[in-house]
Amino acid sequence: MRHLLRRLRYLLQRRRFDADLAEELEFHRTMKERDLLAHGASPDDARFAARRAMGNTTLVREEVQEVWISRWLRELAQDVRFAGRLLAANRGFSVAALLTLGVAIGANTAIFSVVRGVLLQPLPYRDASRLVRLSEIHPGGHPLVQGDVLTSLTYDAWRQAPPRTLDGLAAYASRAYNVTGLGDARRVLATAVSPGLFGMLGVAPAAGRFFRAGDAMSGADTVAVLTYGYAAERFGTPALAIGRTMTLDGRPHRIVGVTPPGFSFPAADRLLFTPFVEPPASGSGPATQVSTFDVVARLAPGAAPAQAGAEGTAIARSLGPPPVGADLLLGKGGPAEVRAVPLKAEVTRAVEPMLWLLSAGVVLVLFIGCANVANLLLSRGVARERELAMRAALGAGRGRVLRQLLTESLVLAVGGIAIGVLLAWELVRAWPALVPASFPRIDNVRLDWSVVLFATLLALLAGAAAGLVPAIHAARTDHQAVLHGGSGILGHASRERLRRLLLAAEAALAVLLLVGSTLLVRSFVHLVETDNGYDARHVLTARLSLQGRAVTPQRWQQVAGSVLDRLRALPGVEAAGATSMPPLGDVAHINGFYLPGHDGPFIAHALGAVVTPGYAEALRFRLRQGRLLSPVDAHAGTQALVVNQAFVDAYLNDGRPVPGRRYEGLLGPHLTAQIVGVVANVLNDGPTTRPQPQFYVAAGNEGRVTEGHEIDLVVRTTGDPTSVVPALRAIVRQVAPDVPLDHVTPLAAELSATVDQPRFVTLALTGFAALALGLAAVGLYGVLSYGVSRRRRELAVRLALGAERRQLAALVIGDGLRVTAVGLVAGLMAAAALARALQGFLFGVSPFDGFSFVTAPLVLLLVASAASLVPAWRAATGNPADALKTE
Amino acid sequence: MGIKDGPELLPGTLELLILRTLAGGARHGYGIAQHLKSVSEDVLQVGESSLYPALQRLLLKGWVKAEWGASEHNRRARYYTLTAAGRRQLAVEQREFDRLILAIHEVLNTA
Repeated sequence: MRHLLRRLRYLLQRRRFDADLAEELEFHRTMKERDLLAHGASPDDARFAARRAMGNTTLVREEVQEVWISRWLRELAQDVRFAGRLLAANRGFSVAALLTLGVAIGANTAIFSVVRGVLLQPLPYRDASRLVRLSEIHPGGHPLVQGDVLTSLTYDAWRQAPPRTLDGLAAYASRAYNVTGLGDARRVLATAVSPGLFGMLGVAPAAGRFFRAGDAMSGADTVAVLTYGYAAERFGTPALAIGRTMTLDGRPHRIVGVTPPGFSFPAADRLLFTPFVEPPASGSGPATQVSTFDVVARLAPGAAPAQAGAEGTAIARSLGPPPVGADLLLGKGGPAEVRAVPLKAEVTRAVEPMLWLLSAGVVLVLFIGCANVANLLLSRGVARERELAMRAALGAGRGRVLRQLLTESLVLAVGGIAIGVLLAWELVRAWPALVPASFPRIDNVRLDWSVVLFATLLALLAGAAAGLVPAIHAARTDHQAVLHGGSGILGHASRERLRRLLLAAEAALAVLLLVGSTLLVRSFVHLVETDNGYDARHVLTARLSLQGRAVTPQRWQQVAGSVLDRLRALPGVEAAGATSMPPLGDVAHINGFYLPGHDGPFIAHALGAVVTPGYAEALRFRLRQGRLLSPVDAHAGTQALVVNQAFVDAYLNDGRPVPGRRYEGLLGPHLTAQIVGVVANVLNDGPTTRPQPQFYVAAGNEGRVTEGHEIDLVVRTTGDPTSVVPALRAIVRQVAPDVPLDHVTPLAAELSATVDQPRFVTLALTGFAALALGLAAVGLYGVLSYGVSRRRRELAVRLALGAERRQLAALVIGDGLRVTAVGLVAGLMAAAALARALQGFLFGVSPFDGFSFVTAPLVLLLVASAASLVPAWRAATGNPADALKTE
Repeated sequence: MGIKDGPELLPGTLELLILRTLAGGARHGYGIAQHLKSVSEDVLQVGESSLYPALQRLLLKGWVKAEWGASEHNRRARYYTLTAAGRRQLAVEQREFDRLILAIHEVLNTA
C-alpha cells in the first residue's frame, strides 16, 4: 500500500524525479572526472571517461523508470490482457457474470439517482434546510380542513410577537382562476402568497418585481406575477408580460413580475401568483372570525424545527381558549399544538417510504448478484486449479496470484459499470413515464457525474467483494496436491461449504423479496378489485368552472342543462349527467343537519351532492332500495333525496324501510325532504378510502345544499369515451364560451391514477424479486452442473454397481433442494421479522399474510427444481464407461 | 544487475552493501560507490547503471530517503540516509546473508 502511494507520487511528480536524477548523474560524472584528474589522468582521458559515463545515463534513467513504474504497469497490463482473454474464452460465464453485475449496478444506480435527486438534494431555494412548514392541530379533534395549516390567530400573534426561533413567516393559499380574453377560456392553478414569500425563498424576479406590502391590502390594485414558463407561453418573451393585463375570474390583473425559469411554489402545476390578502379580523371572544392557510417560515440561524414548534405552541395557547371558528376548522380537541416540519420532508413525504423500500429491495438484488458472481468465479476457480498450481510452481507468489484473480473480477466490474450506467441512463430517462404524475421533484432526477461515480465505486466494491473470497481461496489451495493427483481434494470441502453458503444466502434473499412482492401484489389486486360503487368504464368526465363571485344556482343549472341537452343528442352517448361533487374530484361539500333520534334531534354530517337527471345512470349507481332521482324531482315541492348505504348505517339503522321517510326543513326552510332511494356506497376518494354518509339531491331543488363553482360532467358512451371530446368542446364553445373546460379524462384513467403509486411500487419490487429469483436459479444451476461434472466418476461407479438412473437424478435434485431449503427457512424468518415495515404499503392484506408466506417459498422451490433438472438429467444420462475411462 | 569490471554479485547483495554503507552516515551516490571501492580494495567497482537503479529501489521500498545538500566541493548533491525501516531491513538481510555464506562455505568444504 505504501509502495502504491510512493508510486503515485512518482507518477504525479515525474518531471521532478527525472530532473533530480539527471542532476545527480551529472554530479557523479563531475566527481569522477575530478578524481581521474587527481589520479594523474590526462584531461583528455578524464573527459573521455566522463563522456562514456554520460552515454550511460540514458540507460540508467530507463532502468530507474523501470524500478518505479514499468514492471508494475506491465504486470497490470498483462493481468488485464489475460483476464480479457479468459473472459472471451469462457463466453457463457462472462455473459452471465457481466449481465448479473450490470443489471444489479444499473438498478442500484438508477434508484440512487432518484433518492439523491428527490430526497437528498436540497430544495432549490436559498439556504433551503432552514425552511419549514408550520401547522396547527387540536389533538384528538376531527379537522374539517385537510392538510397542514395555521389559524389566522396564531399566524398574526406570532408575527407580532416577534418570533424568536423564526426569521420570518409567510402565508400562502391555493387558488384557481378562469383566464379569459385570449383563445378558449382556461382554468389556471395559482398560489396566493404573502409579499415576503419570494424574499424568504431567496428568489429574484427574472423581470419586473415581486409583490410589495401594499399589494396585499384588500382594495389594492389587483396584480399578478407569472411563472417564467407561463409568461413565455402567453407573451412569447417573458419580459414583454410586464405591465400587460390579464383577466382572472373576470377581473383585470396587472402583471408586475415574472419568476426565474423553473421556479414555482409549492408545486410545479402553479402557473401564476397573486398577493395573499388576509381576511380582515372581526368579532371577538368566542365569536372571533378565524381562517386557516398554509404557512412557510425560515428558521432563525441555529434554531431547530422542534424549538419553533414549541414557540408556536406557546403562542397559540397564550391566546386563550380557541374561538368556535377554530374548533370548527381544526376540530374540537385538546389545547392547540404547533408543529414545524422541514419543507423538504413535507414535499417528499408522500414518496419517501416508497423510495427507501425500493432502495432496500435493489440493494438485496445487488447482494444476490455479488453472491452469484462470487459463485461463478469459485466454480471457475476449480477448473483453473491446475493452471494456478502451475503458476505457483513457476514462482508466482501468493500475492501475484491473488492480484491476477482480483484483476479478473475488476475487469468484470468495469464491464458491469458500462452495462450498469447504460441501463441506469435508460431507467432515469424513462423515470417520469414510470412514476405517478404527482411524484415530487421529478425534474431533479438526473444521471450526472456524481451518479456515475457512485456506479463506479459500487461496481468496484461489488467486483472486489465477489472476487476476493474466491481469490483468497485459490491462493490458499494446496498446489502440490493439485499437481500430484487430479484435483486438490483438500480444498474442496471448504470450497463446497462456501458455495453452498452463498447459494443458501441467495435463496434467503430471494425468498425475502418474493414474500414482499407477493404481499404487494395481493394488496394491489385488492385495490383494483375494490368495489367503488360505480362503473368507470366508458365514462368521460369533464369540468366546467364557473367564474368566482357571480355564481348562482340558476346559472349552474342553466349551463349544465344546456350542455347536457346537446351532449345527450350526440350519437354514441348513452347517458349524461352533472354533479357538484364527482367521485375522485377534489371537492367535498359537507352538510350538517338535525335528524330526529331516540333522545331528541341530533346533528348529522353528510356529504351533499347536487346532481342532474342522468347522473346516477351515467355512473351506473347500484340501487339498493326505492328509486333513483327522476327529472320531475327537480322542481317538485318536496326535496327528493337519495342516500347511500353508509348514511343508512350511520343514521337510519333502526331496521324500518328507509324510502318514504320525510323530514321537515331538513335541507332548507319551508322544504320537506323525502328519502326516495338508497344506493350502494361510492368511494369518493379512491379505493383505499372508507365510504362516508352521503346524499344526492336534484339540481333545482337543492335548498341550502351548495353547488359550488364547478359543474362536473359525466358522459357514458357506447365506445371509446374520448371520441366525444371534440364534440364536447364544440358544445361548450357554443353554449358558454367564457367557461373553461378542463379535467377532460376518461373516468377509468382517473381511477387507475389513484393507484399509480401502489402499482409502481408493486411493479418495481416484483421486478426485483423476479431478478433475484432468476439470479438464484442461475446460481443453483451453475453449482449443481459443476457438482455433476466433478462427481462423474462417483456417479459412474454407482451406476456400474447397480444404482438406477432415476436415483442419480434424485440425488442431484435433492442436493439442490436441500441448499435451497436452508436458505428458504432463513429467508422466511427474515421476512417475518421485516414484514411489519411493509404495513404502510399494504391494503386489505396483513403483513403476515399466510398465503404470501406459503406461496413465495413454493415458487422458489419450483424454480429451484427447474434449475436442478438439467444437471440431474445430465447425471442420469451420462455414459459410465466414458466417465471411468477419463482421469 | 552487473557490477562493472568486478565479480558478479548475488541478487540483492548490492542493496545490502548500500544499506551497510549508509549505516555509517549520509552519503551521496558517488560517495557510496567510492566507499564500496575503497573498502573492498578495488574489488567492487559499482557502475552508475547498477548503483542508481538500486538506490531507487531502496527509495521505493522506503528503506532510504534522499535529500539535497551541499557537497564537500560546494556543489549540490543528493544525500541518502537510512530510514528506521531500512535499519531494520539491514539487520535482517545481514543475518540472512551470513547464513547463506555459511551454507555456501559448508557445501564448498564438504564436496
